[in-house]
Amino acid sequence: MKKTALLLWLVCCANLLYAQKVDLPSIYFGEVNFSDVEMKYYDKDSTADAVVLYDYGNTSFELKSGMIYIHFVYYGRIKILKKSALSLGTISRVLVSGGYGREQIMSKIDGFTYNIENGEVKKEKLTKESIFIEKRVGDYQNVKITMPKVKEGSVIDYTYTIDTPFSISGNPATWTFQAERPVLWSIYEISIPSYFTYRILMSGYLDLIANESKDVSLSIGAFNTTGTYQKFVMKDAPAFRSEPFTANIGDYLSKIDFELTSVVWPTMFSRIYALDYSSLNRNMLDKEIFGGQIEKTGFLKSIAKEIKAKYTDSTDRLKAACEYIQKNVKWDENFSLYSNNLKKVLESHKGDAGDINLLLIALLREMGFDANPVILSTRGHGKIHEQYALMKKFNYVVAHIEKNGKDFLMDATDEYLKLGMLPINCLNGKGWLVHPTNARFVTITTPERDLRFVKANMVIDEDSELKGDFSKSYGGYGGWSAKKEFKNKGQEKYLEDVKKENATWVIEKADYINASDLEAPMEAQYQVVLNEYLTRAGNILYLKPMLSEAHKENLFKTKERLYPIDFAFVKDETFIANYELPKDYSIAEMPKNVSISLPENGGKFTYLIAVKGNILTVNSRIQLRKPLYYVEDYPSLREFFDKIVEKHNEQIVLKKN
Amino acid sequence: MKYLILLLIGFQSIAQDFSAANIPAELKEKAHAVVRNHETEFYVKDIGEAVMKIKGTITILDEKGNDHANLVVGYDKFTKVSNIEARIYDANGKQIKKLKKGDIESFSTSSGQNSIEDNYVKVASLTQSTYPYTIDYSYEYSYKNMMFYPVWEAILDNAEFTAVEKALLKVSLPDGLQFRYKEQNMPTKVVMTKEDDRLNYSWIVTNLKAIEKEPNSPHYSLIMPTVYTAPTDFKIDDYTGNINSWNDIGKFYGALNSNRDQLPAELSAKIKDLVKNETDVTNKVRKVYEYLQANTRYVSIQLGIGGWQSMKATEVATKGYGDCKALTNFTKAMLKDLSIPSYIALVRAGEDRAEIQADFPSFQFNHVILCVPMFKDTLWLECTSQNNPYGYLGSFTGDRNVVLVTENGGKLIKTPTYKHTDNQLLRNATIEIKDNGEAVADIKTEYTGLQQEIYAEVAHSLSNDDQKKWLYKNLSLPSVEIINFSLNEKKERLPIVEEKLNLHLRNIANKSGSRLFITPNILNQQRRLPIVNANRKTELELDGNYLDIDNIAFKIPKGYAAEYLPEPTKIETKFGKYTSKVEMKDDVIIYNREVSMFKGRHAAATYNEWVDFKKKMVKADKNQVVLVAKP
Repeated sequence: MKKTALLLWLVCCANLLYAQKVDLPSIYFGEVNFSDVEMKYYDKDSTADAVVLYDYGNTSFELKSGMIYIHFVYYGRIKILKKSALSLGTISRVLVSGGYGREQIMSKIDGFTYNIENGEVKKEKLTKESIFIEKRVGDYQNVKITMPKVKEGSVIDYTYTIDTPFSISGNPATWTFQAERPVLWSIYEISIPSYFTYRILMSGYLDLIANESKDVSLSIGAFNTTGTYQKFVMKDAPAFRSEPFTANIGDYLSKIDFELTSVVWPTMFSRIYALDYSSLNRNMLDKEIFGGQIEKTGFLKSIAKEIKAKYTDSTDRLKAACEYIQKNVKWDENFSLYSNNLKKVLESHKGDAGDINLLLIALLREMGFDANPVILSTRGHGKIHEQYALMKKFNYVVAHIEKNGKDFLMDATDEYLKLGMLPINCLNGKGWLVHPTNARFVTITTPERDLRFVKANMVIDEDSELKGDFSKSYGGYGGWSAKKEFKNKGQEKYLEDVKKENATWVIEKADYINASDLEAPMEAQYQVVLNEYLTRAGNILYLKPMLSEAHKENLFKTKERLYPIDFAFVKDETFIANYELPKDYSIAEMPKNVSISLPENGGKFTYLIAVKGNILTVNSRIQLRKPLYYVEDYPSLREFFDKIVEKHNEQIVLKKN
Repeated sequence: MKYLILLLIGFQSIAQDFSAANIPAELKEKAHAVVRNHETEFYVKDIGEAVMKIKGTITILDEKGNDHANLVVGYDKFTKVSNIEARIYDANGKQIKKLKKGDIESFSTSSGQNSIEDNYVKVASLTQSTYPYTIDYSYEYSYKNMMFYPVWEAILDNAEFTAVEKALLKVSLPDGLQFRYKEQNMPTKVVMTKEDDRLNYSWIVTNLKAIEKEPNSPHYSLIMPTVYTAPTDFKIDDYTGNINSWNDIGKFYGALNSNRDQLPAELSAKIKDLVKNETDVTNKVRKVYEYLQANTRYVSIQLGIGGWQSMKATEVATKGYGDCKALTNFTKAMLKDLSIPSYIALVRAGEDRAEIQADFPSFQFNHVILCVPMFKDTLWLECTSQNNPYGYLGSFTGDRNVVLVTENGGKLIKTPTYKHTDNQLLRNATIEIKDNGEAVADIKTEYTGLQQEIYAEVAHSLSNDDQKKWLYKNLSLPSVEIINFSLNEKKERLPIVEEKLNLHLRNIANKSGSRLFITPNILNQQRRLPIVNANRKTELELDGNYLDIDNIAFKIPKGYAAEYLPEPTKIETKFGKYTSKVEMKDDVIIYNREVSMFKGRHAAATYNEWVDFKKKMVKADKNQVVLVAKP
């Protein structure tokens, strides 16, 4: 796969890249091919437990009692190949049910199950009693359809329509061409009256086999007009599978989205929903719950004054501001971009990410900083769209200032984030700086690494024991998670878990330093007696010099890789151990020094070993210098870790003179 | 089958002091929350209706106590909730907030795609971020689900780190109506009073200190102070019951589910045809079971009385799905048409569920299975599984008391237990190490009984691709590539899964200069350890019951001699046995390890002995072999 295509979204606008005539299958609801019911396994993926034979959606627009509805007709045909796919026999759809005008209506539900009995296809019809409606949290309901007689080998046919009022969403639902099971045919049609203009956004790794567009005449209610009919076809989409070390696997799913850009109803109504960033910027600034909130900072006057009086250095002031918000407003673990009332947030001492970081911006402004919001999308929420300004792609906000001519981002939701450090979830590409004059994209980088430093000073005892000091320091993101864990568990539990993790250690003393200091790395210091890493055979001693810190397994097990490897941040792991050799012993054999690098300065592993007098020093350092590696880098990354595992598990042989 | 959802939280007394300052110091030890006062009043109007009033005052001491500030009130067709009120007070007892209607959300608790239920909860979050704070709440149920009376836990939700200043259960009945109760580890006994024409039974506990749960304990619901209550005479929907014994439980269930086992004539004929060539009863049952597995699927439907009353067999026949009651009843109906008698058994299913209170007949079940008495032994069928081996119950329903529903009422009996030798891991592996340190491994492992369950689940619920992924995840080897693998199920009464792995390994033998280091136990290492506890309070409950045998032969490159071979290890304790040894014959290193673990309960004082045993195993499992190139 080409590197450039990896992160860029494949965008195709209404003007087509190509149009091609494709022979589509002729499929009729309620009529099934004998061969499909007879099918025992899917030849293109023999491991599949089910295959979607046909996945069809059709969207059009309707006008009913003065309301515009997006009318969606669905038709699906699924082949069940193994019992593990029997759950596909229950179809579940969650709908908005917010009362009149805010209610999605599901209707025309129909279905059949086909099985082979005595050599013939037997058809079972879905009955009304098998359709259930459950109320869900908030204004939602869940329609569940349990298909009759579904068993291994069954083919299920089902159809329904969903009418969604424009007031709930002006955009047709996302159409996905791929699913957990392979999809033989996925066909999506949409007819859009000329009153509406949409931007079409395609994403994913798979290609369409047909992409047609033509002008047609359409009617909506009593209005006759023209419009565009479009059709998108994908064939043989493989089952969509996740991989470890990805920010959001959904970013790679093949799908199509429609974004409303304008509604122009001649002589009656006209509205442009610009999808450009400057309009989004203006909207955000004008919004009372966003731009409006950070304009009113007066209620923070006294605290701003207090911080300014206490600190003169601007970094200290930033730190104090973040700390003030962190200590005074507890994050409720929710993401958001907005706040209804910052003053009330401060009074109630709790809020979501929008409340907290807008409050931080307000405080910084009151202190005289030119602080502005950067909106972004968390890793769990997927990547933002850089070409089109889609508000729904954003779900988080952080504070921005320019510091020495550089972008500087801050977040106050978490008391363990040191100044300038963002939560891992925010490390997701780019964000947008909402600003009256200098709005732009901001690359979300973090100066912090995942930093781990282990130091051991050990005396090798002739009784096959190692005695000495072992300390582990955690900085950057490593420090952030260690400090959090330490606070959550408390020292007693934390130590207990260290003991469980290191079953054979005898820990004589444990100290934790800087566990609540944001600036310094947290350091865990142990006085230990270790007998696991030294084996005695007569007058020979074998030492595993990496102790508990040896990488024992390669992180990357599978040979193949489809998507980029996203670590979110840079990693740096160092291990240094000094061993005092027992008297009369000398080194019979020891590992060789090694230094290997990843291509393009992507990372480095060094392993050095040296003896000076009776002191043996082992030094290992692993650096992964990129937060994100492309698929092309995968084999070398896997090889790199193999080498680490090999080197880390080598031993030193000591012999009595 | 439905469980009674009793999420007890709860109301408002006169002139209560909400200040956190007055909590006795000893109640704050180890506590994240202190229940200042909690009252549950179960007021029985008549055999078909009751009102349950709950009120509570809880001080949350720190962030970890916040769970108690989330009000969760379950309800369904038979229970209606009303008058939910709550107030929040600061550390000084000053009111800071009152719960508004709009703060209460309600939603379905339906558990998944394949379940259809009418259980709902109302939820309100009362959490604050400044500690301590006190919440005070009350609500009321009108209650028509009279099969169940409350199970009252003296420490709210049996939660750890939660102290109780005072808690009260009151059951009030009209004179003449009976009920039953059982006290478990209660520091105080029942107090009975008569008031007008009613009898009141009260239990009050005061000053219970917070506990911290210990690992490998008996199920906490069996040791925490609890009062179980149950009706004698009751009514639900249009059904009345009278329960004094397990026999009565069976009678009631039988009546509720009577005449629901007729098959459509067509199916009846089909079943008869299906077994026409079978003479042996066992084989007939097997055929029926296989028909069930191939033609139905499990969909949990729990609506109203349908939580306890089965769908009719005819309905299952036409729809092809049902819940546990429906599928079991359906199987029973098929067997009936073949004149093979069978009985439904009520069971509390689940691997980690507490056993039922066998001396307290009441509805304590969440599942049903089918019991088919045979000449020599008894066959048990799990009818909700499309994959379960015929006659195997396993960890889900094996080894526990169940109530058999017979023509003559209920009978308490026990389902089969699986001995440690039934649950085996038997492994034979050959690992050929090449000169460059790479290796090819051929591993054959047979898992039986309880040990095969996870592998069987992987074999039939995951696609081939996902099985491979799962194996990769679970193979703790330095660097491994799966060249070939297979998981084969042998569906016997004692089922077996045979796993075959063909692996390419790197770094399995570590070459340092002229030496080769091998840790021979590469596939079954005991790693994590429990830690020593000098103040162990609860008994040690070991539920592992198994036998592992690993035989691994390492073929090593020519020209090496053993420089170090570990001594054999042999450990024998009442908890289990461990042996391991390594031998070298020519160019082959033979490793053998045998571990037996026994299910059992031991005195609290033996806990550290057990830790010590585990520690020795961990150590022995890390033993290594050192080979050196011959000069």
